[in-house]
Amino acid sequence: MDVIPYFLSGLILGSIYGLTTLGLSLIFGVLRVVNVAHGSFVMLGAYAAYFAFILWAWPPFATALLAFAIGALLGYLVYIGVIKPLNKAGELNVLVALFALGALIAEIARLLWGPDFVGYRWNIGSVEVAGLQIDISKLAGAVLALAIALSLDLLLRRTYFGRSIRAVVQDPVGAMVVGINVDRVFAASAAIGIAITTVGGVFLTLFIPVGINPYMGGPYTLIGFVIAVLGGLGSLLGAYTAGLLLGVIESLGFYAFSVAGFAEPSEMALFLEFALLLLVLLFKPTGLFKL
Amino acid sequence: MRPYIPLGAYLALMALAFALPEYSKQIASIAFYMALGQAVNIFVGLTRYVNFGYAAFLGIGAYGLGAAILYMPQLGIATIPIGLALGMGLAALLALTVGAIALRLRGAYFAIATIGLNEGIKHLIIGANIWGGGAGLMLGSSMFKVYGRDLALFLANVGSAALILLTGLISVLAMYFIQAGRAGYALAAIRQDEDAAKVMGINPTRYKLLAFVTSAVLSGLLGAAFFSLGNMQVFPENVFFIDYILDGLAVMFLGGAGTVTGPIVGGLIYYGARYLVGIYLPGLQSLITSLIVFLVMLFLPNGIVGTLNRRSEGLRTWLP
Amino acid sequence: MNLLKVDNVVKKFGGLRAVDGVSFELEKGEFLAVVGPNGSGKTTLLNLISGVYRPDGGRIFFEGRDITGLPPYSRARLGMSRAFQVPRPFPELSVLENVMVGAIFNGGRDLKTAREAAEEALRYVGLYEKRNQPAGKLTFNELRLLELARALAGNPKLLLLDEVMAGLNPREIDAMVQLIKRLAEERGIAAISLVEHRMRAVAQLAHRVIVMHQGKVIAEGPPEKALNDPKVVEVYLGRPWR
Repeated sequence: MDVIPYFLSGLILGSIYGLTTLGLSLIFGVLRVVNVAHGSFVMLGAYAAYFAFILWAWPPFATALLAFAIGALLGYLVYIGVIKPLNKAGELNVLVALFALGALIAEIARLLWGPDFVGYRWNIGSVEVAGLQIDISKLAGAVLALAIALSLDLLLRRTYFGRSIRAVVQDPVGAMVVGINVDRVFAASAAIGIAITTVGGVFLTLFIPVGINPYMGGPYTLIGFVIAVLGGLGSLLGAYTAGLLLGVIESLGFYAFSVAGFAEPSEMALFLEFALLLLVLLFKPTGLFKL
Repeated sequence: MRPYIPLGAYLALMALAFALPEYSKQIASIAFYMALGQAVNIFVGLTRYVNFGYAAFLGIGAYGLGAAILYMPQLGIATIPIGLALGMGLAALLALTVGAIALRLRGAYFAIATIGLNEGIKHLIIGANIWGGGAGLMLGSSMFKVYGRDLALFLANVGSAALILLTGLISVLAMYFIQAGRAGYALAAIRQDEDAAKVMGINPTRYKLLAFVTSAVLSGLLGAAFFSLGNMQVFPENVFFIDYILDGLAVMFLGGAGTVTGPIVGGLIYYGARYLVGIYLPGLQSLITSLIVFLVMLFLPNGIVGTLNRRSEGLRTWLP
Repeated sequence: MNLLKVDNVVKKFGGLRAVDGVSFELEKGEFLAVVGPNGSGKTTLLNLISGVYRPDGGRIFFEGRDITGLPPYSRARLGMSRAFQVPRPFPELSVLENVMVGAIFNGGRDLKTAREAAEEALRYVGLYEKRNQPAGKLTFNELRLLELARALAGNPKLLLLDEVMAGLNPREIDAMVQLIKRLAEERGIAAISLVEHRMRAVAQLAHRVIVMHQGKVIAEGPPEKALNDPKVVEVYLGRPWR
């Protein structure tokens, strides 16, 4: 037995985890809203990848573009229909409405597509790295996820739109005074945030060949929050880096729990992630990284 | 605030459960939703913080009683009281741990900490194979052995209904006593402006923790009464079921967060709605539940009793 | 022993030193005005004293005790009361209940004594007649008085007043000035008040003035002397501050 393959596969999966969490972090950073419906948008992305592959033989990276458009539209609707009207009433109302919305999306998905697990396999060969056979599709997904994370960060640092986002984050009133349309920045951030989350769901299907189901979002909501808090809520590169870290922790945790003889090591790995969340909230709620 | 009408409602239902034992299962189902909303309300209504891990406390309470029945039959008659105490104690311990960490932080962080709570505990029980792991606990034969067949069935039917109603009743009293004392003023201040409250000498974490632990203990009692006593079985997929969180939120917000009568009204309507959906749109209960919560948040955020209460002083006093 | 001692406190926000090495002392019953233009660091200083922020450097002592690490609610219980610049009532509670909150938690009183203290504070500021109204329905001036009553009901040794004159008309300012003066004289309550506008009110009220600019104290002394300091005049040049 060797730890290196577990480390590597954790790193690759972690890149996807980082991608799925970017949207969560962006929305919190700009709107100060925790998107508790996160997992359901991951699930929608996963179904998009599945149906596009099964029906039209689309490779998932092409579906990602479609998923981005769907996610952006949904994100815009969530902002206009839920976040904006409820923000004045208080955080509780927004959180509960989003939580209900997440459950509602999952139930509608079950109504449309049934409760069973589905999946597909996109095989384009594999390479050997450090004694581990890695699917090229997974490797490409991980690299592409890194590229998306870096471009999004660049977008926020270099463009006019990015600068207005950062102005709103630092001082909403001041941003309004200098003529930035705060409402539009909020709407755009929600749209981009949920679009990226949905794209993350597409990429995730490369790793779960039979794991697509209306209720799959639950664990990914938990994982998303662990990562977002680890990386410092609101920090994009922090979220991506923490995604890598969590992928590795999950993979090594799985390895350690199997060696220790637990019957359900993957369940224990999920518990480990929850314990980690509490520890970070206890000792360093602002996150581990300054990025 | 005069809590006589809500207290009377629980006492009347309790009398009904004893008088018509053949209907005790239906009464227990209605009462479950009422008590669920009532226990959720003690924390969410009083603090305006939201606990998405609520089902974990139902579950841990159920496991407390379940473990006592299955693993400590030598206790004899005392099995149930000791099991209930164990369940409530475990719920309190879990709430203290999570609350002491996450209630120091703002609402968003607390919501995040609790959203993983339910999944986290479920994964621990299944993953580490605690208390039967994924297979759960079957309590029927132990119950028959300890209490005899007739008494065991009576406890499962009438006893469970009465205990669920008692949970609702204690919740009303807890709400009343918390609000009538210093804690009531502190929580009212924290809800409306936490920073201002701090500068006036209020330690917000302390009072939020008080409401959180009280709510958790009553949820533990409810879980034990409903699953372990009423169904005589505890399955992890069953007790840590995310739908109970939505059920509790639906009942509470339908009736009115922060009101004492609200969960009774909300529970009745919610039970009725689920019953009708079960007949005419079978399989869509969960969809309707999330739709109800979503629509209530958008269009009736103060709930039925909460909205009526704002209209008149008399209603505020008699239907608090 | 002095009531409050602020010793070389520093607070940074990113690269900005909002409060940059401020030191001063305050006697029992003394009224100190902290003057400075917008952004001079005076609100940050008040937040450091009340405990909303922790300083990045320096220490704060209250009655000789180091309170640098204490949270706001512990400081409140030691006898520090704060009135916000923008009044922050609990809008759904009645006027009396608002003041009771101030009374209950500073000094651990039971509800009955707290109610008496609250009623007394409301009479003192002249809001007793409105005690049963929801606080959300008060006028701006009344909210200011409520804010003061809430601070008073906690039986404080030190009042922290955050621009309490801003937004009031001249007659209301006069009434507020008289009220705070009476508190200092009749009850020996010390006060620190932030002042950005309406210096006339300050000059006739304060025992001592500290002038802040860019996070530092640039002048200190009796009102006439501190406000006419050449450095202060320069900072305020072109501003109609008289």
